[in-house]
Amino acid sequence: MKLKAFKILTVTAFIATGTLVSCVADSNAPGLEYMPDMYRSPAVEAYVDYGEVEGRYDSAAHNLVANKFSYLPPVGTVPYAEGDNYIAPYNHGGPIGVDKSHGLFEVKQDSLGLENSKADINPIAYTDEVAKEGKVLYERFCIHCHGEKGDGAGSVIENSNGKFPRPGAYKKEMTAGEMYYIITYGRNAMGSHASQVNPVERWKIVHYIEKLAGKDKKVTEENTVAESIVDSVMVEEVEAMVDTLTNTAH
Amino acid sequence: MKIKTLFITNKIKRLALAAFAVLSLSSNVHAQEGDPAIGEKLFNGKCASCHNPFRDVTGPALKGARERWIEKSTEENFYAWIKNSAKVIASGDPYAKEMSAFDASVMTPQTVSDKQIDDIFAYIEAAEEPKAGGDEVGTTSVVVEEEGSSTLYWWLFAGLLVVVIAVVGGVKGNLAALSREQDGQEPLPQQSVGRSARTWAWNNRGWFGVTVFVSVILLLAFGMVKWLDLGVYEDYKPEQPIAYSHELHAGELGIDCKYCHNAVTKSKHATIPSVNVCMNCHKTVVDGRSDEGTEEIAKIHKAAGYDPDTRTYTGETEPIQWVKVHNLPDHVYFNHSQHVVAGGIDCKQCHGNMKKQTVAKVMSTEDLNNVGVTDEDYDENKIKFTKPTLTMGWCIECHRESTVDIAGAPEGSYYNVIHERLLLDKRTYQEYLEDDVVTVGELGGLECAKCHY
Repeated sequence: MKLKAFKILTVTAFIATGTLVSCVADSNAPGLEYMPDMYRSPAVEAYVDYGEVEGRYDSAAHNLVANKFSYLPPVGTVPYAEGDNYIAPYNHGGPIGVDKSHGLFEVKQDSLGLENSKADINPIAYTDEVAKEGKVLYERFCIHCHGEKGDGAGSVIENSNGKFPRPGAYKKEMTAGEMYYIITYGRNAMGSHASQVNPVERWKIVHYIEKLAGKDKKVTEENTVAESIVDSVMVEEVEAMVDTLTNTAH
Repeated sequence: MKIKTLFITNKIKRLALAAFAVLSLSSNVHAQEGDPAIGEKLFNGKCASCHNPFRDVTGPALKGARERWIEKSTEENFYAWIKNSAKVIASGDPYAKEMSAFDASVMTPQTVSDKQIDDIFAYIEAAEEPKAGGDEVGTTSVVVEEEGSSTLYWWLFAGLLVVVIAVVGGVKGNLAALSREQDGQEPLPQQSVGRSARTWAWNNRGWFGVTVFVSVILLLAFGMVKWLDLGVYEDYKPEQPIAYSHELHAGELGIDCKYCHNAVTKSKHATIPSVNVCMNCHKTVVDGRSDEGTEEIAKIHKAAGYDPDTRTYTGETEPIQWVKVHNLPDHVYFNHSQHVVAGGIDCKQCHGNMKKQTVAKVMSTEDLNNVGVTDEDYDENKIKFTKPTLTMGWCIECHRESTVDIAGAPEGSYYNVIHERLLLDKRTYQEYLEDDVVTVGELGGLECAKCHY
């Protein structure tokens, strides 16, 4: 009898351990939910869709989201305006073959795009605040390749064992318009950063790059927008468009 | 599979190129004349943005370029090409025409002397190809943890044990009955399973009672612990479609979090980067640090519709179905930009030290409190937590302790309005006078409707 008792005890112990072990964290399982119907959104949320519509699993709804995962943002989804700064649509087309070389398939191509862009003037006035913001943006989006001083000695270049080509130092001769063009469409090994920085941010970054390239930058106090690029007609058009939109909404 | 074979052909091509360069080195007179040290500086400054000595980037691989020119054209044209390629193409040189078809972009005319070209090519011919293998320091290979299957084995093992014990018990009973029969005794009366179990339990009531008691207590305690885990997602680190390593990209290569998660300053979501952001680097970076890494990069190329062999996009894209890691219930509103821009909170305050992680993970409270303590990547977090991450208690903890820099707020901003209002609210004003700080909670950060609506 004593032996039998021992056996039963072992079994209990094993089952208990089994239960305990089975509940040890599995890194692939998120954990237990308390009332999933309150946790899970019936509407589609970014990156997550449970395919549940009122308690029923809907594979069509699920696939609709799954098939659009991690895609390029559609052209035109980056806003043209930020705060009070209106930026007119950028009319210089990308370089010829930019679809094949940089994957920009919906972008119009123009062999003279780069040449024409060189005359563009930075519409954002260079103020103290813009200088500061430009530095923050540069340190976020450019510094790891172009380096702190803009000489091309970024941490990616220095630590990647020659896998990524070293960008050249910023040149003083390059115009602001050309810099903006390159950020927008990319050039050679550099990809297009248009999906990451909006037009206003791009112009602010251009200010900072010009400073790194060794250009004389004078801080202006007033926050004026250069007339040459922001077409006043365009601004009126945009405003009219916003008006009609709000009117129809009411 | 197709991509894999493409890689192999690429590798063979490179090997052949390297072999050719080594063979032709002996016949190269000019290369010895140049100074590789000066050449390296010149190369990095003028050529490296488009050329690599060993492989085709925007421009062709440069190792052995001089020999190829001598072989197929003349050495004069080689110098002339570097100074102004358009001129050589215009002169009708057949090799120049061949080279102009390499890429859509034309080589920028370079202002270099013949001596400088010699220096540059002395460096290129002397350079040794870095190994693709994982022998360098700080190599991060992505290991996919395999768990979960072990629990199944435990259950199988336990089940097997039960079966064995039952069989042994049955055999023993049969043997006992047999021996009674042989001894000429009456066989034991047949009993139902339930009845025999009850008899057996009563006969062994001493230790049986203790076992049941202990089991019930254990079960209750266990239930309590699991109950507290409801809705706690700490250490959730699911396998992702691509075994991305934050340790390599954010840690070693020093890329800012917001380069990829760039919407964090503008939207509710920090966003998982779309594949074009990966391609900003991986258009050129084809080889990983290990073979596994190279395979993972090939997945990016497949999704982006990019052919690394021809270095062109095909337009045949595929979605990458990343697994969302930080899930909040539908009844909670959380906005990243509000916390990052207005609140000025560092990513590490809530996401811990991602420089030590491969794929994304829900950090535990301990991980967050250890930032800057067990590592030197960051400064210590301002707020230390006690509640599990991504729970309401955790949010509240931070809202109670975080202070708002009202004095430093820009003029005319919302905070100035709130500041004025504080003077009218006696209780908050009293609290402010006591500790001299205004916390998020005092500004209404504990109101239910701030997050639940």
